[in-house]
Amino acid sequence: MYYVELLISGLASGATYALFAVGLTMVYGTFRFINFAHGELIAWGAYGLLLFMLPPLSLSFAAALAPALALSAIIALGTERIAFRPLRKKAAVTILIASIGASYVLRSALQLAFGGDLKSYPVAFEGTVDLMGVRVTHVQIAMVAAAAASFAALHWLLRKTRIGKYMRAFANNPDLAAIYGLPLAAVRIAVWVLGAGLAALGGVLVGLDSNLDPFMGLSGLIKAFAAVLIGGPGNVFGALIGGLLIGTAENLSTAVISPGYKDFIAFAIIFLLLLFRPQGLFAGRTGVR
Amino acid sequence: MLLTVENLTAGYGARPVIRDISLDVGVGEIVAVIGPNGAGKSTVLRAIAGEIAPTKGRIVFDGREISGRSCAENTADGLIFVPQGRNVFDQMSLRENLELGGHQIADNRQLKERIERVLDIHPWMRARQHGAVHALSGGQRQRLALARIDLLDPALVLLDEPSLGLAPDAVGEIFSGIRAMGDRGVSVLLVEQNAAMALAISVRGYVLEQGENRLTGKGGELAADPRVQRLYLGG
Repeated sequence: MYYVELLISGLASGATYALFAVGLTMVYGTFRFINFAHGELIAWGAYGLLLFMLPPLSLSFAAALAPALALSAIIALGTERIAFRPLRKKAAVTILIASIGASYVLRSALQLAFGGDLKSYPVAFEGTVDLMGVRVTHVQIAMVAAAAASFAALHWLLRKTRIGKYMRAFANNPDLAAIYGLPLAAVRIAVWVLGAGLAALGGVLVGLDSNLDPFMGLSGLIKAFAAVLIGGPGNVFGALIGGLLIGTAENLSTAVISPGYKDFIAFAIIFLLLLFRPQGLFAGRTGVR
Repeated sequence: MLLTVENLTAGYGARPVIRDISLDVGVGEIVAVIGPNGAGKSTVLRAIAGEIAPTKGRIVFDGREISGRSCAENTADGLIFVPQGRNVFDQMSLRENLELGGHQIADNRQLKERIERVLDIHPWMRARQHGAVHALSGGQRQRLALARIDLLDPALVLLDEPSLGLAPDAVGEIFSGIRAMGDRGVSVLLVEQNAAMALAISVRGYVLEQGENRLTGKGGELAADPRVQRLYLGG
């Protein structure tokens, strides 16, 4: 039963890693750059919820969730407009360095606004349910349900709607998409809003499960990187599998190594994949899929 | 004239690739631009299409000056550009490619009807409409790229090297398709490496060399011209 519990908590954390990874892999797939500031969208989502739940607004958890996700999306669009778009004709490494700069600005702003201490939400979801002898927390169920619903919605959006097809077209062949006159501005907004919103949702779930920490964005970014590399850059559903694999591997590892070192797993996966299979496990082609 | 280009100069960065190019395409005409590799043939099309901005000259389409307008605006006005090489979305399905080709048709039902019409014209596409495009042959992909013409009913099509990299029987099929477009009243400005085939279906040809107009003439006369034969037809 101990291992089953580890497995379940691994899948639950993995579900949040998958949510973190969507934006990172979509931005790479569409705009061909790695956004090092993506982790701060996770952290700002989590802290944004706190902001709306504390006085003066004092919203309920349910009422604060949508504005928190929206805040993260606005930050993403603002960063894109101010830091990335003016550099879009420059070398990829220039935008990458700009994104590292943006991550410092966003993280410092977070610390300035909320302080450096650990925080937690003024509500607690501490219930557990018993599933055939295995204890599962309500938060873990919420994590898995949120990821399942998000990826189902994302799949529908990318396959069935016009904007989703435009997103995949830009990722597949940006030159042809421009010749066809597909709406780049709408695609840009969709990619950033979806990526930031899902990252923020993941951040909120992690915040419910443990604490809010100004550096949570950085550790989230590492997990997202590993998930993106497993899935193959640009592959949204590869990132889902990647996230679940990392979460599970990490949690099962605590049976043999100290939980304090479990972040080692994500780093080891990044290292090995970059060394042997940089195109991802289910590789082949590029593009948002 | 449907399209009149006068003294067009364009390029990438500061140095022009084409200088003072002039050409005309009348309604329902197929006109070819031929010339050796690096003569600037593709650049002519890209400048007319709106992919690159001309530094000098006039482009008049359907009575209106269009230089500096975007590809999207030109597509909406009935001037479409089919580029060479990667001219389909190979990670998407055939049907999705048609949907993207007709994205400017805002009404979903109307778009669906147009796609049905394309599938009626090309029955092989119906069988493979939900399959991924990267599984198609080179000739099939090229025919899919050209199907955008059946979808949008443009007045003028700019075709860049439609025979590039295709097997000989596929090339024949593509060229008879282009000739059929002309018969339907669609005007075509065709850039080709395969000068003999291009001139055979064109009313007029322009020979480009090092970014400049060298020769102009009727399709058949140009193909018989000893200078052209020596230069490009291996005669």
